Amino acid sequence: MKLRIRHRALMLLITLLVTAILMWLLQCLLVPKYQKGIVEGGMMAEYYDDLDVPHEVIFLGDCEVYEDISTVELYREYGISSYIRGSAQQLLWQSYYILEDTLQYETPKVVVFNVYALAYNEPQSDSYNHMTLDGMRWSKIKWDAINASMTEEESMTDYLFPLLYYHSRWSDLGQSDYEHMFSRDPVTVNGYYLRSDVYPQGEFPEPKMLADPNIGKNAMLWLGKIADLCEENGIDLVLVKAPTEYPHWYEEWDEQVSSFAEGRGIPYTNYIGLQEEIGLDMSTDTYDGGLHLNVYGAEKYADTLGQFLTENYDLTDYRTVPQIASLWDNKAALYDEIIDLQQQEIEEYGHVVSWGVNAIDS
Amino acid sequence: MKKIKILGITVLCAAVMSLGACSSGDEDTAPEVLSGGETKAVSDDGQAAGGGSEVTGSYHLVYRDVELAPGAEADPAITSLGDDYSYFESPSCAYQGMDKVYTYDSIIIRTYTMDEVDYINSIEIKDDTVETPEGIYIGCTSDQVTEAYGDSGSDTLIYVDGDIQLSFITDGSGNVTGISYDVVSE
Repeated sequence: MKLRIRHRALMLLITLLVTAILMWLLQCLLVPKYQKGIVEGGMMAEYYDDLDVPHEVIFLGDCEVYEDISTVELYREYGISSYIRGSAQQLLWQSYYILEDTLQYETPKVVVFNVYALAYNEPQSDSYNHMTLDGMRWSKIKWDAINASMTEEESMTDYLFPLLYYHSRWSDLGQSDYEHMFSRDPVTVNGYYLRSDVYPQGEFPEPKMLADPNIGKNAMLWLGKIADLCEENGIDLVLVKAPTEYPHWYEEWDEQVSSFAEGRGIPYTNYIGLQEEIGLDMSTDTYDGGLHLNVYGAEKYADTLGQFLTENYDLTDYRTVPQIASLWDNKAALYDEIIDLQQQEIEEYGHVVSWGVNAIDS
Repeated sequence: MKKIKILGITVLCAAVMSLGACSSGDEDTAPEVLSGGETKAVSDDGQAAGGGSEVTGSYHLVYRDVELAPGAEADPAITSLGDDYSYFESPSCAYQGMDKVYTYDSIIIRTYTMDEVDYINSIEIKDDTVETPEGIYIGCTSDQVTEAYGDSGSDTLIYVDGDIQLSFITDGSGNVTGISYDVVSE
């Protein structure tokens, strides 16, 4: 009798174990790999593979950081070792928790936060949330980040068991889903998403009327928390608005950010009006009609930021630290290789075919 | 052998039940980013758009004899209004939908995409040639607005009916300088 019970318990245990393994394998297959097309969901996790390099400057924010600032240019011109922990539509509370997450691994000297996310006062969309949060390593910080980010329709179980959220992908599986079940290739260079194609800026429509010119209280609250967290950890916070003009950054918002920054003694620069000083030519320095910069524009903006950072903060010139310099040289080589590959495609097809939303997952 | 079969069937059942349980859930939770990206659109002021035909509320505008309301399908309205508009479109961050802007002489229509259908996200009145069905136009006073729409219950002239928000933007003197119909953000 006893033996029978033990045998049954063993069978149950084996069944549960096999089921769990199968579920895990299925999950590995079904979660998006973000290797081609929409790659933004792959950015957050890449940071953890770069912890052998110290990052004295961390950038936080949405596409206005990960598409507009060349981390390699910052290194090449100023010796700054930086990382962009950006993600698509990264919201204020997400930036806060991503900074908290970063502090588990290193303490940067400077955090540069792009302020456009202040346009959003509440959680916005499940897919953006997953693109930002899925890649974070599990910790209480991630748990809190999810709780702060979820829309009313979302549930924590979707994050705990991504299979539940991604189960319907089975009909959309592509080759990279099989190739990258257990590993990913990097989609950025230290958080920078590189595009070297050119699509000139055109005319933007009139900005939408603002029924309420005030930045949302919740967004401002989290900006304050970011400032507090930096202060508590001896980090200098810098606020910037990227030099791109669309989506519209309202004067009323700018005044409120300026006032906040002044009150907290934090430098804030709105670079929209400084395109000429940066040297931006939006007929050549953007790849998508002015929404984001291409690598030529991102290098110019990085030059301006690099100058500001080196003039105002005590940053190490890592070009003079051989061990770190050799790691950065590898990154720079990858960066140049991506530019070359994109240029070859542009020459052959007239546009890039392996990057962007229309990239084919063969 | 029999036990191995039972084990196999149990595992298979668990797997199928697990997926079945997911499938019977809300299909809308699937990451539409993966099939081309058409989740909730976000307008360029950062406000999330609402849910297409599920939008409720009676506020609407009539322009060129065409009835326009936030949340309504955009294509029939755009077709009826004629083709003398300027058009702008931009993908949302990470291609999560396409924001489209149709600028006419006196109004601007912004749309969002859901399930491959464009819906009106907002309608803005640009000049004093267009008035709301309640008779308010750019240049009216805030008193005229409250007379037509009642007390808004706050310092601002923002009225909400169902999922539609009607906003009157005023200058320092209390004159209406802008009128906007929007799907209420979440």
